[in-house]
Amino acid sequence: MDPSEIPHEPEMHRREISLADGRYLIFYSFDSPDPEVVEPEDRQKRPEI
Amino acid sequence: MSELRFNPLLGEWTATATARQDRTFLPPDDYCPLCPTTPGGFPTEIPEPDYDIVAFENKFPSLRSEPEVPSIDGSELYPVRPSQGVCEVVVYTPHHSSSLAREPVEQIHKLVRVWTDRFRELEALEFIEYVFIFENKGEAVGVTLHHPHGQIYAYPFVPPYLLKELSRARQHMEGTDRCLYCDVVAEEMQYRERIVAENESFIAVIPFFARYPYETHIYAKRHLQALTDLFAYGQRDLAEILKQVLAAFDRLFDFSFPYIMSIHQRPSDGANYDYYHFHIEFYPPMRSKTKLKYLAGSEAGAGMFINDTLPEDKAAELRSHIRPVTWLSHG
Repeated sequence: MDPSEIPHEPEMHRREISLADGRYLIFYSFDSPDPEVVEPEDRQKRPEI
Repeated sequence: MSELRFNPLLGEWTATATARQDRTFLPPDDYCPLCPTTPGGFPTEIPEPDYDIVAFENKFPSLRSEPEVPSIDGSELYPVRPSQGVCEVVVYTPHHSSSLAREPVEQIHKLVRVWTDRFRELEALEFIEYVFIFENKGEAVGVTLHHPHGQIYAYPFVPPYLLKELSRARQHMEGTDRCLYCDVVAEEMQYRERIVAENESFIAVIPFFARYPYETHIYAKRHLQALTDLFAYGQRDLAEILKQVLAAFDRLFDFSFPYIMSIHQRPSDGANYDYYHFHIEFYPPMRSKTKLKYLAGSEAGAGMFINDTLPEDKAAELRSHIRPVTWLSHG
């Protein structure tokens, strides 16, 4: 990627919680960059091993 | 029971972790512990109805930040120490039936940023000397949960495979005043026949010395040591080349391709590793559509790999499945 073409980076957010047994869990989320994101068709396929 | 036992024959530590015998093994889809917890549904490891990417401490760790007292006393010959460290699970997506290869490049870009954050946080722990980010994908490499996820082991020492790489890189730097990996990149870029994919920041190759038929390495073109050295465009280029390589793997035989992904970065013990070079290694176990490459006598017993294929041929085959990446959003 050409560095001059870098768009604005969506901000990353993290929210940490404690699970019942004391372990930590961190939710990562990102500002929505673009409303027209579509679900790729191949994401729905079942994995085959 | 969990402890680190020293192997004096090889100068390496082995972790015992007997609780891992009880870990969840290939549960039905309805009981996947990495899916979101839906209202009224099975309570999973992730207690919310939706998420983007999640990292959490492994329920069945081989290393713990507050480790158990070892179950056995060590000796001068057999040192024993608590298995201190951190084991995390990183869940790539809430979509159970997806895979990293099938995720949009935007999601892989997010994951690169999460990996970077986890590396930065874990390497700051005073008892951590190496942060190892990896993924086991597919039952052929021993996966116990199909939901797309990777793992992070933060070790209290630099593990042996990395020590060997570091030693070779240091020797090369001392002998030539050049980075070994930069030389490998230059040689592969000059020869070109083993290149699988390339962009401004990274090159993917089946290297000259590949041990597995489809062993693929992604090298940073710029001399850097860790994910935290990547600029924003480097993070995006890494996401792009990962998407290209992973999707090409799946196209090879038209099934979800198993692999071990191993991210190699500098240690986190505070020493100077300017001679080392960030890269990612993939070890796919397939040697054809229906045959697995097993680690047999020579590989497991003597440490010498025998590759039944030529890297140049396999690189051409994998390269033929590389497609351009389209960003659907600004990621």
